[in-house]
Amino acid sequence: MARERKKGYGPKKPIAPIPRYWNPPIVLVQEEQRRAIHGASLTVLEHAGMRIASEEAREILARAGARVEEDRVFFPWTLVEGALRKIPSVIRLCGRTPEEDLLLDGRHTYMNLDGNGMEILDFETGVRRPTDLADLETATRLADYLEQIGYVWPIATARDCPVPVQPLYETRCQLRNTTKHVMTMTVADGFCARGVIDMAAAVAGGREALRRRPLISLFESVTSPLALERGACEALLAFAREGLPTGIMTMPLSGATAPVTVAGNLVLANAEVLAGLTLVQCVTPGCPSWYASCSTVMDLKSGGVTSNGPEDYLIQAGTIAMARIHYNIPVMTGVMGTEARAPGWQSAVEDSLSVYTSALCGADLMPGAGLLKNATVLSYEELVLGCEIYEMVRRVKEGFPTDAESLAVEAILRVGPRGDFMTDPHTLEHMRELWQPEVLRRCSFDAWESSGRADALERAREKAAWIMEHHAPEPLSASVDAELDRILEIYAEEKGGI
Amino acid sequence: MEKHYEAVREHVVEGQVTQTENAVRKALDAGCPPEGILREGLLAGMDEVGALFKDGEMFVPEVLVSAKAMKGGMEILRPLLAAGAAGQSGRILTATVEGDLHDIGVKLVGMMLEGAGFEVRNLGVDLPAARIVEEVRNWRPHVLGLSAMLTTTMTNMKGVVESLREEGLAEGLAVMVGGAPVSKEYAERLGVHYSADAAEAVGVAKVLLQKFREGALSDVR
Repeated sequence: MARERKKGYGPKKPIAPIPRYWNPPIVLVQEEQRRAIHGASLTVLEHAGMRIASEEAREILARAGARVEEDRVFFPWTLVEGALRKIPSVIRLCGRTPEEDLLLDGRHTYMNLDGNGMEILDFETGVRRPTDLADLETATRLADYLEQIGYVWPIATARDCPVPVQPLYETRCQLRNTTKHVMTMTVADGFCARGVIDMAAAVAGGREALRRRPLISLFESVTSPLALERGACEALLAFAREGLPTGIMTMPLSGATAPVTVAGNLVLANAEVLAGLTLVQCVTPGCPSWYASCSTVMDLKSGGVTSNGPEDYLIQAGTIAMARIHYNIPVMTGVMGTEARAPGWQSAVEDSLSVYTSALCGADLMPGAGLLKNATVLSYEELVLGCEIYEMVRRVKEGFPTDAESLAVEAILRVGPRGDFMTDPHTLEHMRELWQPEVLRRCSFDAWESSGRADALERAREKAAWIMEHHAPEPLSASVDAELDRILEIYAEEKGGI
Repeated sequence: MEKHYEAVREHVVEGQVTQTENAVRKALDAGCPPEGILREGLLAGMDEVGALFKDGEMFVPEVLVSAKAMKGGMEILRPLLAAGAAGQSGRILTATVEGDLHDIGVKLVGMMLEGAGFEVRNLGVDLPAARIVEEVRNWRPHVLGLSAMLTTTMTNMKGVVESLREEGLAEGLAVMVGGAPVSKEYAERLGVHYSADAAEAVGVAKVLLQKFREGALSDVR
């Protein structure tokens, strides 16, 4: 076999989901607990209801059997449970080509580029500064290359673009710089929702083609506790009416916008997501949808957010148990988003434990990698390091086979007492199944010192720089590219020609 | 007298609203001067709370219930305090700017400020600049606190500050800004005051009020 010496990191590889083959999830939240949470959430929805700040949405829910009092909607149990039965348990989020489709079937876990950072640790200077469209472009290109990233959120807020159409600038940038699935997260009204649908349709080849192969999806966030604001409702209606994948996200904060207990947070979050999903299913029964939560905990010492901690991981486990095990619908749980201000020990611990928990419990989608300081500050090194964590977790979740070949009795008999396995055919046959680090270092103390004590961080930096230099995403055709510009122009015009 | 002050202090630290109010009334009945109850009882209690919070001995929710207790006591004292003493604490108007519906942060800051003895009024969320300016004109606060949670809405702070200047209301008013996307640099560009979290906001407000008192900032009430 002719061998070539490896140069750099090589061409782009296919998306690597967790696991490549099926291993059942770890169940941390038991049947009895799930029933208790479900019942409690239904009680909340029936008696406290939700503020639904869109008349149109309220009318849809009223027609379906909800009781409406002013801006408050009270959900009967039957309505919610009926809606839950309409949500497909398996959905597909599409890339530009089928090779990059994501199958949300409870057997795959995909990680994405996180969103939406407001600042960046500048790659050249290391200085923290506001993000702009160029940062989003660079980060999206990195994500396009990185096999551990399954789909993209706008990780850098395009703060240099006009506010009313900023989500359209971001979406255009994403569609241009990756062939992976684009999930919009900054769209917060019907106007921009229609804009991104138009853009995605231009790439897909029309509305019908987009419905068949949804290369864009949207989720809207509940304002905890218990409110879906008007813009969010409008955007949900716009996506759901097209039958495009539409998720409901909630981010309650234990002790501030949610009860302080893990169970209380789960009850509130569950009620909020079920209310949103009920709305989506009333608009378009069977609309591809998913259950999303980035619940976290108030930091008791500052009033800020923890993003990570044992309770956060328990909430993730509980969220996945409710969605994937109890309801059997696709689920997304926020991972990583370390509280740390720079990549280091704290970020490694927090990012690892959250990915480990969500992946092993069976999340379909895990946002996401690349942000520091509670998911507000972008760092390319953090992104590459996050991918390494994902790889290790992926390998663990795969488990190990125990067939005759793997049990290796023959090899053990062959080697016998005091022999060695180093050149045994069994070793040569299987050694490449061992995971190899890409940025973690395994070297002698001397080698480490003579390299200026370079660690994973430096290697991550090197890899990010290499990708920036060597990887260009598959471009859109010139006509589609021009069409995106034209759409953006039309929408900007509508907002007064900005 | 000290016995009464101590009771007020203790109930404030323990975050007991009703007991604090009762202790304040009892102290008044016993002939303690309202200024003394405020200074040696309520504010001293909150100083202790502040120190315990800084040491990590007390958590945010506990500080907030202490602030509620302090506020309860203050409501009783306010009509009795000499005009100067009541005004000493300073009035703070807070609001979340237009387009933004988040208020957990501004609520937290408001409660912390009340705990420090400030009179705080929160206007709510999604407030157009014109409405905020109008409220400033009517109530004449010492400090206006503006909050935003999103990069997209943060920019509306600029409009508020500009309107205040155009309307001639910037004189005698200190503006504080805060919220996830807001940075020290952004505040500096607007020529306003920044704090990174609720505890820091209280410190900034105290410094600003001190400046009003010293005449370093003109007080146009």
